[in-house]
Amino acid sequence: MAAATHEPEHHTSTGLNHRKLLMWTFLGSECLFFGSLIATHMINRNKAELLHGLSPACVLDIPITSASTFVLLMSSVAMVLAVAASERSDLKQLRIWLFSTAFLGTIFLGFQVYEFSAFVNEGLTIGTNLFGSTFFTLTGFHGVHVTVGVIWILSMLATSFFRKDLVTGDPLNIDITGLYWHFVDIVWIVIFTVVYLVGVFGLNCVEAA
Amino acid sequence: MESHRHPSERPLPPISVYLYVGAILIIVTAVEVAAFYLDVPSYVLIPILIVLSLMKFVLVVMFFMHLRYDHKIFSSVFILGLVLALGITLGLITLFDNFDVGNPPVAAAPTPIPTITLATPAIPGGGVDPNLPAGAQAFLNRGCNGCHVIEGLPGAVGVVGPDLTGLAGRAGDRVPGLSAEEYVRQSVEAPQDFLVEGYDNLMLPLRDTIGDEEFESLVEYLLTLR
Ligand code: HEC
Repeated sequence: MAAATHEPEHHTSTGLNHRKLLMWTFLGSECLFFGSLIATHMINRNKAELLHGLSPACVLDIPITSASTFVLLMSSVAMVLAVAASERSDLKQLRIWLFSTAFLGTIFLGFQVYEFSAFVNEGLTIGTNLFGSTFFTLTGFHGVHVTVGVIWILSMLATSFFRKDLVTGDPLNIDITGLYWHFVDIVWIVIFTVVYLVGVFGLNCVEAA
Repeated sequence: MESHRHPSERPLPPISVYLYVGAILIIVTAVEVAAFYLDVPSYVLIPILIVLSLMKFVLVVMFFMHLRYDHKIFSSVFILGLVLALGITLGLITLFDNFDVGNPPVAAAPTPIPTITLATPAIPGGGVDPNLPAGAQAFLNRGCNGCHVIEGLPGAVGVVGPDLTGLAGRAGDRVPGLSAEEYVRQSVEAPQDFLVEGYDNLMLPLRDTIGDEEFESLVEYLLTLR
């Protein structure tokens, strides 16, 4: 039915939506971006001479980060339910799940603000040592991605009140928002395992002199 | 509905599939965190953690991001980026030889360190007490005091490394086959070769910053610590 009433997409040589293809290409390039940041972190996090007691084993907080990881995973579930609601043109559910996603994303950001300020209180800043520099660069950029995602999702929520046609049924707007959000989630899945769990395992905290 | 789906694409799954996947994601994360607290060797744990996290990654991409149902082109552009990223990551890590998780890697040749940043002046505002034994002066002048305590030696206050009080008494038992003197020499010449239990490989390779004569006096002094 929708296809006949509105035909918003151009015909493309692949028959696929180019905005969606663009999003996937962008996400592919984002893999390179985060891959490089993660590698840089892995290489430098334990440079011995520069730690002075502010090493991953001393500052990273596994229980707190496990909680924030849980929150972000839940937000992905909420997002996929929003996408499904948009496909069904179920405006009410769409709004509920978009709001939940943004809400959980904001909680995740709250955890990150808490974590960053706790580290700074312990003396670890982006300039303290290679661990601090690479850690804050990596997780900071991830946090920026989450922030952009939250703003994007909230703007979609607002759109659902003004231009219902843009968020239900045929248009890919919610679908593409979801791709971005899930990507931010999978980046965190990798960061949590590699930077936090693997990064701390088996290391003792050596206090500074 | 779903008129934007290409004819060759598969229909999207029912909601229940999303909920199952969400539950699996949570359970796998819980397993990861639990495994982290188990006392297993890192060569067992780390591969397990990586596999579990990869599993979560794939689940989200296939089900939440619909790649399992969508046109292959979407998968291709993403996988292209992903493979390049993995290549870069592994390349960098092997180049810099630091995937070793327990201790930082040992440089092939110890890099001479021109200035010792850790050195704290033993006596505020002044040099080292000239009445101390030559070796004790070397200990303070070379910054060893920044990481080690020696009872009775003012300024030797660092706690990054083990307390060296009474070192001579235990040095001979540290490494089978090494005498006390050989062990003390090795501790400074190649600190990474033997790690005192409970400490990481944080001792600086300082041997190159110490003159030979000074080094002899340092060893002699350390062997008097009973
Ligand atoms: C950056 C901190 C640091 C500095 C500076 C440092 N050490 Fe160490 N040292 C350590 C650590 C950490 C250990 C324990 C790990 C190991 O065995 O390598 C250690 C271990 C030792 C041991 C073995 C102790 C034992 O009980 O077996 C000796 C001996 C020693 N250091 C002597 C020295 C001397 C001499 C100097 C000055 C030339 C010095 N250290 C400078 C951190 C330091």
